[in-house]
Amino acid sequence: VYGFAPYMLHVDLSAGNIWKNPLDEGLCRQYLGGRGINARLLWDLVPQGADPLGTDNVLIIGSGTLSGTHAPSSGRTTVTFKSPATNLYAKSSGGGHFGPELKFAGYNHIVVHGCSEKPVYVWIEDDKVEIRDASHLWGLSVSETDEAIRQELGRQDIETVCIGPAGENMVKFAGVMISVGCAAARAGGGAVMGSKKLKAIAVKGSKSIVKVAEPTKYGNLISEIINDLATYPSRRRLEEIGTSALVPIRNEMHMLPTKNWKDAHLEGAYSISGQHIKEAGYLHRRSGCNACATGCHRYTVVQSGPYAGTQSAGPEYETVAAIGAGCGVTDVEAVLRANQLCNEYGLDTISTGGVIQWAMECYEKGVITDTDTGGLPLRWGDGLAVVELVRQIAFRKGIGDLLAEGVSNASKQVGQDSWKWAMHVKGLEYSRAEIRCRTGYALALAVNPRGADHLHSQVYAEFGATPEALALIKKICGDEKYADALLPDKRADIVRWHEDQYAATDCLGVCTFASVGHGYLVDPDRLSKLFSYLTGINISEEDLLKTGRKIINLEKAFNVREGATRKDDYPPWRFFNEPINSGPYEGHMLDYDVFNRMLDDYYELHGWSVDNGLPTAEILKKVGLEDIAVQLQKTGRIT
Amino acid sequence: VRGGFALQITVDVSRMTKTDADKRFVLELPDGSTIEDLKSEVTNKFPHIDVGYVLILVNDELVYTNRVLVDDNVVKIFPPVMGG
Repeated sequence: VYGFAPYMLHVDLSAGNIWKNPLDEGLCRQYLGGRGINARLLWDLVPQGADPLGTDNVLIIGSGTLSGTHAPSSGRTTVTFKSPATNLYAKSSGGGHFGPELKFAGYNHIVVHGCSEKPVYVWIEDDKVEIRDASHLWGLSVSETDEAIRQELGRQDIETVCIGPAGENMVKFAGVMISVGCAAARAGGGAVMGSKKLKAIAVKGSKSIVKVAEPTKYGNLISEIINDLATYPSRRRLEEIGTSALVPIRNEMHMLPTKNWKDAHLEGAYSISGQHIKEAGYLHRRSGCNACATGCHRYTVVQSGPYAGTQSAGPEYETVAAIGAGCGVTDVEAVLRANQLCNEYGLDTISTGGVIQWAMECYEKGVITDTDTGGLPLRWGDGLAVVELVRQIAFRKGIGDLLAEGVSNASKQVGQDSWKWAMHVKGLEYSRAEIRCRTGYALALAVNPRGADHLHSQVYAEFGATPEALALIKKICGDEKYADALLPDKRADIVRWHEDQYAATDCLGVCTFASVGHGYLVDPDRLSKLFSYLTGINISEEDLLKTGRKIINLEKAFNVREGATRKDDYPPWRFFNEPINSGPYEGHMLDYDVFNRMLDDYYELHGWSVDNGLPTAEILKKVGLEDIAVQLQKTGRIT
Repeated sequence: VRGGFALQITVDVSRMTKTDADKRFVLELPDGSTIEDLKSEVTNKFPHIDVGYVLILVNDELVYTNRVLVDDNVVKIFPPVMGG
């Protein structure tokens, strides 16, 4: 098939076997690539009830279908597994350069089965694939691991995915680090690698570039998109300041989640913003992922003071908001240090910030005491405490061992009322959004199969009323008035449209800044054309979105097989019981009746039961998942 | 003293420009003026501020569609931002 690499690589770490299968063309047609094919493989390979940290779980790495070509912002790689944080379906996507390199070596996907008895890494050089000893790498940080492998192989032209000590120690929210500075961070893929004793995968490909079915049309469309992106205002802003440019505006609107969502505004938050990071000279350089047309990635350095020597990729908005504002910290150098440690230890910064602020609130309320913390005071705004807790979590030292389990598990262990401020859905810590005055976001983060994360269906109009976002709302709902984020009406329609678009975008390996953020410039029409011109498999905009919906149903089906129901699709307690306490949205909080109506609308729109949130066999068959419908019926999970 | 106009609107462009004088100022507009009218007026007075593609907050609330302003509104203008 044009566009796709010819093989799927399998590595069984229990048996030490390596094999490759020709990539099934039917799979490419049915699931588009990346996230879609990964989801199907996960369903087929992981039995119901499998221990996420046991031999039955698999780790699947899938390249985007456009990856390896010069399609703008097309270098994203999807990592899929059963999550140790949620015990449910998980996919996590990262940038960098690994996915394209994998295709250059001839492989569209890697599936890692089983668990090794001793630390290993996998070295792929075109047709040569080896499982190599990694005992000497165990314990190294992410950048040390990458460098050590380069030295050992005697080459600098490789790409790696790897884990740091947090993954080795199976911290439930350890991430898979890609090309050192990028991360498929969410939901614990790093812990799955750690359970497999898989320290890294290194790849070098030297095969011919990806073959394009209709090169002239493909190239012309790419040129058109690049020109559009080049002049788009938010793209320029994103390149200049980075994602943490969001901090001042969200703070101004009293929508910057502060102190574990107790507050919505943080005095002095500007100091942790992208604007300040640039103005104060911490921004060392900018860069982009493979074939990127934006360049939002950055590298920051602290040259003096107690955190001198700090240097790392990032930080992103989610990071400064989670380990900064979320913990009440405005000391930018402490935030940069904590960001560096998360990147080097291989931790998801959103979840890391989430558990630390939960612990700080427990400390404030006397649920956790100095006895529990070993004498370390966990006070709001204490950057030093945040940095220390990052270390303790990564190495499961002291109270870090408790926090490494995530807020859901930790609150069950600590007890009392601590579950009320455990901010998660399905066991995954909340992205840094104030959803008590953003109804579409509230719904989207609740129904996300992997838990409370914004990258499942981001209703961009609610946070940035651009002309394109308003036009899209009009297209979906018939009137742009539904962009108003306080309205509960039409949320299901808006969320479902974005679900379809995000799923398709992830299959193709395209960054959502291009497909959603920058005025929906790489919209479903353009995505379908790019896919068709590249692969020779002609699909329409409608086909593309239908396949996105099929993938959403497949991911849902995985969770249903594991026992998930409607009760798993709710935002945390705080959002229904404690209102925003300042600013223009003061007094706003979610209402159970209103949220239930939105959830009913969402299930009805999908054709799922409003009683229990489960899809029917009829709906699964209708979206093209006939065999999965039969399997779920046999187990009695659906009717 | 109002210059014959019904509305006094405070405009904050501190995130748009680095020159101190322009960061926060009062615009006088006729009754019934909208956000689009305000943007035109800002462009007339301060051509170096590009308000063609911005986020608008009225009294700290993000505004989704063009709307009529009322006296004493505080309008903040932000460059487009995104993230995650």
